[in-house]
Amino acid sequence: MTVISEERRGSFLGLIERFWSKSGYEISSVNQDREHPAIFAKSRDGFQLTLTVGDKGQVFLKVTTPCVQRSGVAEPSATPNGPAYSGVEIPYPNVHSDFWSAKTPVPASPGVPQGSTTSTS
Amino acid sequence: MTGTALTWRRLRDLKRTEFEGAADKWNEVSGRSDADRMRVDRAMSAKLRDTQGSESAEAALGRLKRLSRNFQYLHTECGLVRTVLNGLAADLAEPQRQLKQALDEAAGLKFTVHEDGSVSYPAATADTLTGEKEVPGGQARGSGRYLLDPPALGSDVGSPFLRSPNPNAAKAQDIADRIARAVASAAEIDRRYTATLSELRAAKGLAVTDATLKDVSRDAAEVRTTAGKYLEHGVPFDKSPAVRKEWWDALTDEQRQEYLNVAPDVIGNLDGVPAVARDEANRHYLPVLMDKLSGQDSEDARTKLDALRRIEEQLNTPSRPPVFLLGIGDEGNGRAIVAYGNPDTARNVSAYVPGLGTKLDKEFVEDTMVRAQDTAKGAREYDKSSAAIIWLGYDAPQHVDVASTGDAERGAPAYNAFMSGISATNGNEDPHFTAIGHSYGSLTVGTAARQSGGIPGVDDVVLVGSPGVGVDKAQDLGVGRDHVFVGAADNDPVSQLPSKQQGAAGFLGLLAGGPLGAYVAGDLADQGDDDLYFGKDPASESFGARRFRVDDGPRPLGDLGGFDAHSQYFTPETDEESADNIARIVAGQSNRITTEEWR
Repeated sequence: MTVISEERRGSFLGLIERFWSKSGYEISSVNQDREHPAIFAKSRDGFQLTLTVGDKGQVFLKVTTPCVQRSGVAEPSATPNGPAYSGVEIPYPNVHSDFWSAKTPVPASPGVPQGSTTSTS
Repeated sequence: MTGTALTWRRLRDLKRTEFEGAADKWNEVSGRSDADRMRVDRAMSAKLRDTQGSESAEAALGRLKRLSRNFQYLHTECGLVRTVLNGLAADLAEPQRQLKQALDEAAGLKFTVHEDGSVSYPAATADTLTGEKEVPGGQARGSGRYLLDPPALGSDVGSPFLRSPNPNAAKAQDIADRIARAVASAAEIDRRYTATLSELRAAKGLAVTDATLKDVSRDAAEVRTTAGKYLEHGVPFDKSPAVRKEWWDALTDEQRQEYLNVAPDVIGNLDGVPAVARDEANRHYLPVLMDKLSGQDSEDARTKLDALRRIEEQLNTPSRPPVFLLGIGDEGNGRAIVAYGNPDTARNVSAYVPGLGTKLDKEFVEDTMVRAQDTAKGAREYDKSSAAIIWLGYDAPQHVDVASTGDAERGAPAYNAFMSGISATNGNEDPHFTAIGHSYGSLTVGTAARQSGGIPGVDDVVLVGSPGVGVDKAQDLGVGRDHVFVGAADNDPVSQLPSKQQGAAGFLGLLAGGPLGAYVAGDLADQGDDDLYFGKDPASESFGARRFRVDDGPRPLGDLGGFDAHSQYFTPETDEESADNIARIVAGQSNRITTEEWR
């Protein structure tokens, strides 16, 4: 759980929004609240993507599939690149990142590092 | 007291405290069994499980489990014996009091009460038709029957003309009757309790099987029937939830256990009793209710039973947030009040009133309850101290063509009583309560808000898929117009339900059942008209609430969506933004919602 400072939250959401748009997802709505922003998007094949920032900067990323037949779902086989919180209360963000946790806004350029989104959620 | 007939002498000399003393002893055994069970579970089994993995350890664990179940069984059954004895002592108090009063009166009048209960009276001077003269004494034989009972054949209780002119005769007769009635009533109580007590027998052997456990619940129900009056005595039914909470808190552990095990139906739905206790009571009551329904051969009973089975399954599955069963019942279309998260410890609590077509059935468990669960999960993203309740505490109309304001008027006081209960039991200094009404439930919430004092404890009101709430202005809901929130999907036919004059029932009937092609789109949104079936459109400017953003949903006809847009406000899978907005309001962060223009 990477700590995303309030100062860099806007940049983080901007990054996600740009990435989703570039991937062909339609941004259906944005909640621009400073403390708890959110982005709602849809893919062309009916998937819904939501990113909300909750209490203490905790980020929730949710993907909903289009309608499917009710069936059992296998446990994911991939191992998480951090602690697994399956079945237990997910802690508030507690991992420091020199970039995302910095208490200053993101410098105007050269932009944000690539690939850092996967470590956050 | 069985074996010999009950006489007035035995009733007079009866020491009820001896029953209570015996009850205390049974209670001790019950309590010790419970402590022993915990020792077996915690100290012995847990240690063995953590430290040994051998086959013999496995076998030992199996035996310990059986031991634990035996202690559990002892705990419950001894507790039931205790309740029966306490009930017997309490119920015998009244006939004993009546008897003693009659005996005192007889002594005061210098009458003699004989072994068989008859009363002799002395001679006296009386006014007769032939003047004042001395009339002889006599003996009155009592009758245990009440005045309204038909007289027995050959009875000597005849016309007043045949009665002795001795003024003592009538008094003696009255005393003898009262003695006989007291003894008969005590004998009846004795018979009832004896029968119940003799049912409380354990089968031979050490196995505590599922059949044994079923037996336990039947035993509890039996004790409940017999000792019900004793248990209900003292429950402050007619008092406010706050007073009931004080009453509950002041009970001893033994008394609370008695109510939870033996009279769970009384405690389970008693507003003012803390959520944890209500939950425990309802979990005890659930098998009893299911047993009752399984004995009924009707579609209605089968539907409710199926729903209760599903609820039971959910209760037995660990979940986050945890589930609390705050009410359950089979009256009307069925009752179920379920909380996701503890409403007594959470700072934010919402209580959602469902609407049109809701009843205790499979859909209720699979869809309606899940909505409250989704709200709880969503609100906890913003504040972990949040709980969400689904409140099916009334009969919602089942079809739009029978919908009148009657159900809402009946539901509103029940909803307010419930909210007053959770206000009394919530332990936070400044809790934040949200009333949520969906569909017809928004009319119920609106009606509740209009009652004197409004909805107890409520800070915010959320109305979704509303056909009108019975008031024309948001400020009439008692929380200030800035605290009234409306979700209305443009393709939700119910939130577009035209006023009665425009023939709403026919409109929806067409939409729901008739040929969809026959529907004329122009009827849907009568432009510029903001009157709905039950009053002003809550999404309109003149109503003046805050309208939060929701997905338009599929069009009823164009997308063959039917009522889908009416049913997705709470559900992140179908309307992320609406569910998120509701979650923010429930979490006390209504300043952070997304909004849209009035209709």
